Amino acid sequence: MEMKKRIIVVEDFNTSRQIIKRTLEGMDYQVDEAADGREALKFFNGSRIDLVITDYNMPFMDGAALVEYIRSKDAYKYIPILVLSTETNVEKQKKAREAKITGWIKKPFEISDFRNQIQKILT
Amino acid sequence: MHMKTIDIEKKKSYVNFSIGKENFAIIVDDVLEIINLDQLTHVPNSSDFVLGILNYRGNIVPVINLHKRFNYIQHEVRCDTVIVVNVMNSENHVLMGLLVDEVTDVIEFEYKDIRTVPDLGLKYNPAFLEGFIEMKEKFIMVLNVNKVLSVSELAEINDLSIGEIAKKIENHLQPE
Amino acid sequence: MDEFIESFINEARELLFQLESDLLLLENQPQDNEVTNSIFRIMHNLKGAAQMYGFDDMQYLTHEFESIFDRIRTGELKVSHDLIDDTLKGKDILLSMLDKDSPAEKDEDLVGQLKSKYSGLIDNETAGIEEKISDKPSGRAIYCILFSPEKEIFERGLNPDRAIEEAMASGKAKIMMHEKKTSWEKQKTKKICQTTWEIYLYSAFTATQIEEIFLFYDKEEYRVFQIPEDELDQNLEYLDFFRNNYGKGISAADHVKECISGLADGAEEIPVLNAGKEVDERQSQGKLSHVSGSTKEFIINVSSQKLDELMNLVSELVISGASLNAHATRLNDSRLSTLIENIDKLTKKFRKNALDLRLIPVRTLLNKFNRQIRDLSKELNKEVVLLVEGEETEIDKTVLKAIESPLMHIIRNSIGHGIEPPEERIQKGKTREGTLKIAAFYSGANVIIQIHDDGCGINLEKVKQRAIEKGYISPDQQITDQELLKLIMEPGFTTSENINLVSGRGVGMDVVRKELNAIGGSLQIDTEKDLGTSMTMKLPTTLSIIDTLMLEVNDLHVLVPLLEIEYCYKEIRENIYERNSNMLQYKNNLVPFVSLRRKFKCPLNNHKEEMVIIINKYDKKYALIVDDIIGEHQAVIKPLGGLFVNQPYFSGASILVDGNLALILDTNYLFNQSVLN
Repeated sequence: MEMKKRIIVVEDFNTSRQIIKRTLEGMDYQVDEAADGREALKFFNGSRIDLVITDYNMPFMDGAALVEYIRSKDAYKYIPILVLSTETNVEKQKKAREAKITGWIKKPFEISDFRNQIQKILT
Repeated sequence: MHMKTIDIEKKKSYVNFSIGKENFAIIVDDVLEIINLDQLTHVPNSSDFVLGILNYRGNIVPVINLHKRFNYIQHEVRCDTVIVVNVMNSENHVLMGLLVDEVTDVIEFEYKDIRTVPDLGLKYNPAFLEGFIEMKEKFIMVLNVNKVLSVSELAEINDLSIGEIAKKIENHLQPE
Repeated sequence: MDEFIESFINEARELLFQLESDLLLLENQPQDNEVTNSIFRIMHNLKGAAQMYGFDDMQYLTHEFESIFDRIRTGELKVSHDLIDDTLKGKDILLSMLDKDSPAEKDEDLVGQLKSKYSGLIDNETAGIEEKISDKPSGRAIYCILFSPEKEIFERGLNPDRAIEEAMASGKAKIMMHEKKTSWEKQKTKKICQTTWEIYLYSAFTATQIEEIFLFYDKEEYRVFQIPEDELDQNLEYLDFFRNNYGKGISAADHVKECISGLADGAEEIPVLNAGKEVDERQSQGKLSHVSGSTKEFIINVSSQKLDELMNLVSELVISGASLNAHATRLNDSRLSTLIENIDKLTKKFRKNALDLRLIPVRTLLNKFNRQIRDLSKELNKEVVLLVEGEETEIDKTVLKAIESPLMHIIRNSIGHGIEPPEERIQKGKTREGTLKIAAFYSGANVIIQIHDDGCGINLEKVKQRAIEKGYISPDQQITDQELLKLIMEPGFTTSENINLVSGRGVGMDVVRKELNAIGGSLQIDTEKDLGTSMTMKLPTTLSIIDTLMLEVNDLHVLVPLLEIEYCYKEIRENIYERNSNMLQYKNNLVPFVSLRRKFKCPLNNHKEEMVIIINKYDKKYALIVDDIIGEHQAVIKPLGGLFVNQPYFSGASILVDGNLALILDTNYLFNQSVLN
């Protein structure tokens, strides 16, 4: 039997995090969550991760630092990372390339759009 | 402050006890248990009428000397019985112990049989006293335990001594 | 989604609560970046969530504030009192917006006001103007896609193969791969991309749908053209690409023609994206347990009842453990004793953890008041500085809840009636600002909360008059100041003419006293004309268990918290009293002492020696003179009850192993006594 794909969700606003988690679990993915970058660090211990979804603005260790950290690990250099953001500023979106992010998920999102994006990456 | 509706014709049971010469009764509903005074821990610098505290099933229960409470000067009392009562003290239920000489028996009478003290020409019926009842050639003063032990009634009780009341009742009952 | 809305509302409330704290802090520390960031994040989160749940007004307002605080972050805008005021007002409005039942205070203007006040040009952050490719409403079209991912594309978690697959699946495609340097397969193993793809696609998809295939790619990495609309052979970008990949042997126009020939032929099945796909939402099973969104620690809400039950069990365990211990000692079985010692240790740990569950630092309550104090001071035109001491002092959850109302009432009194207006204060030679000091600390088995203001003090003359008016005392009756102060707590006793303004009618100190008594606490008032007023609340730390040392005084067993004891030793009686004062010699110092036998009016005995216990409380040292030390005792604190509130020596009682009672000493009170003597 094929193992479920594993997604790490990092987002400090609990309600949003729960919605994302529930949606993903409903798509039959395994979800591990963290409320900020620091908490998320423990997941990147070599175990298999198929996708990371993280907010950008978080206390202690924000999204940028987290992404940098993740990419610094060999095991996770090439895994897809999606960043949640309410920013519509094009400038910031350009930074995705520099920051080695796979893509932005605009907040607030339509659940169906979100699902499509995720499916795009994980199937 | 809730009003209890009292069915004046229903017979209720009262615990009859004595302190010195005087006889008192309190309604059975308020009484938790009657125990022997075992170990009493005196609390220094507390009010006169509080003899101390005891351990009643894991609860700290203060023991009240009704004599002192009523300013009743009398000979040394051989109290070793404590009636543990459950009273309302400013909207909370608290446990208190009454130190008495002896618990005589449990008697029954109707609320309407209780006669009020103003009949005797006293200024007012002290709140702690429901009245008195005549029974078997003696009179028994019926106490409202809540009021007796209520801290805020302290002033009133100091005013009026039980002794006076008792005398008045006695005089009243004796044919002139 | 209903449960999510509720969860959002709860979390939003907590965020707004945090927001207020942050704003007040920022007012005093305008340079604090951490706080600014926190405020920004709160607005940011609220904005996103508000939009998701349809709280439109909230969304617009938070968006405004988010922009403002973003510019404070970058240094473009500076923090000002006005800004804090406006944001606090905004916070109140946001809070009311959460209440879907009550109509929100419509302050349509606020957003506009904010805009103009804090710089006219707030970036509207409209999405970058994207080139919209016209969507063909129906029918099929031919597209040309030029796809050149950057070299490090894999490091963004993307694999171009996937996009190619998707493109192929959207229609009939002809794809040319232009590999540079090495084969694409080799490149893939090396995780670099030096390949571009040229895709000609005949599809029923709209241009937007095609673009979506490259959702995660940079705009510079792909171009989608519609043929013939975009006239490839005229399009500069295409020509550029063409020249880079093809030699001069062929013209762009010819090339295009060749590529698209045959694409549109045949009535082949072309997959159409299922636009209105219904994805079934899995029904949520069970309630989502509310995990509060504080980012500093994970907080779980536990019902008070469960905590109570737990505490009861812990208490019983402690008492049973003590009995077991006593029994085992008597049996003199060493193995049994060791086992019991283990259990004892575990029980101690267990009870400490259980206890801690119920204890909350006073700080949480005091932070709530911060805002109210500020607002009240403003309203009454008083200038008040708030000092807080001992905010980390922990109190039982239920006690904390119970004192919120009386505490607030006392504070209102202090600000309303105690502290004078600035002009008056200056006239009196005082500082312009009044000081309101709230201190919290332990004393024996109690927690003391003291509220002190350096205002005008309580007018005892007025109190006396009022007391006579109300018939509490007769005109010529002798009455001490303390007794007068106690009268203030009688029902209906208020000397203020402005009863409506600050404290409300007749809702006076009597309610405060009643509320405190209900939890086994008490209140003491001290005042001095023009110097100020102190209200001292004594509260039980109910159901606490403390380690104590059991002392003997005559036939009385007295308990003192172990933590407060510095040293114990036996001393010859004469040496203690030789100085004829209440000081004795301890380690090169003189410390005041209190003889409990004397304090408790016990008969004197003829022992030659007494036990000296040196108590050290926050570096205040004094000595207790007792008969003897009996031993250690883990005391489950039981309150003495309403009848003993005015008795100052003991803060509680504890049931001993044999069922007898021991009294817990109020070490703070005794210190004061020792010094006074």
